[in-house]
Amino acid sequence: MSWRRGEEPGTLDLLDDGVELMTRSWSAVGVLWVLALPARAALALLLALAVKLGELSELAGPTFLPRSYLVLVLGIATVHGRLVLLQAYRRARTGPAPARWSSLRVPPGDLARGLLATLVVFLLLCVISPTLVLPPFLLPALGLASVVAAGAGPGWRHAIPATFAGYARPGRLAAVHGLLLLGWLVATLNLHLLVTLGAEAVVQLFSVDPAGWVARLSFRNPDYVALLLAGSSLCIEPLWLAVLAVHRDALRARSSGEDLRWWFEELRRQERREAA
Amino acid sequence: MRCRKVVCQECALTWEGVNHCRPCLEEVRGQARRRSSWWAWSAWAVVLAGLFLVTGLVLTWATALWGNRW
Repeated sequence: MSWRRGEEPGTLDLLDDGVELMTRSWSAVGVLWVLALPARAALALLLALAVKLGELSELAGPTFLPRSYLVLVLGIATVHGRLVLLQAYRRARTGPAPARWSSLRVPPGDLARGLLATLVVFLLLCVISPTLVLPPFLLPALGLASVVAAGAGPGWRHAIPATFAGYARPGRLAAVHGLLLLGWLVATLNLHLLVTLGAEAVVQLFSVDPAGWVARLSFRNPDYVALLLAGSSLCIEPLWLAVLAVHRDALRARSSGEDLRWWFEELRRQERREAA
Repeated sequence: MRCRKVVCQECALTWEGVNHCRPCLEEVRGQARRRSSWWAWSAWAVVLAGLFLVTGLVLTWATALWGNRW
């Protein structure tokens, strides 16, 4: 994960480094999955309910309101999980791993910045969601809100400008999100196959009526589709965050001289190798 | 990084992944201490609570609109 002076990582470099980071932090990935699952499932079921109600959903405000707040309350755990994972990514690169439980601790300032920036981006996402075209442009910001939380400066007010500063290389960001979207599609298909195989095994082992399973696990069932997409998004989320963390570090390295330090380290490593 | 002075690698102090010279780092640390006051946290809590309430309402509106269009 070091780039030569003046060099910038390409799209595939970002993915490569992201995968490397993720594979070095599996326990934190598990923590994110456990903490983010309730909020993701609640959001999926809320959207599935809206689809099922169709035109009646405009009258269903009183039904949606408590569910919306439930999504937001559970979302606090998601942000905490993301920060735990991002801390693990930072430590995977720089420092020794902390003791078992202390890795779950997140500095309150980071959590404050992460929550504030995530809420602002999520609010913008909700406001522009009827346009259907604009929401994908805000997706990177949803991840960057947590990614920059630890490095946005001492004041929590810096979090929002730092989130949008991540858009400094829009082409690279768009390309990497295109590839991640493809990965999401593949993860969704794989998860569907896994669930179908599991259901088949249950039917065979316990002699359950297969007709009910077929109806439940069909793409015509909005609940199933929403939960499937939510599950596959959780599968891809650790990689997405890792890629965004590498992207942010590459941007910051240019302004802080961090790339120069990496370059010196690389030169010293080469010297040591040649001397050996 | 803040004052844009050139500092050699031995003298640079890294904090949160960013290199600083000693006076800048002292300033950053001073700000961090000053801002972690009770008032700052209260203001943050009020802003966040307001944002939380508004986001819940907007999410409800967006969900209803989304369901209607689907």
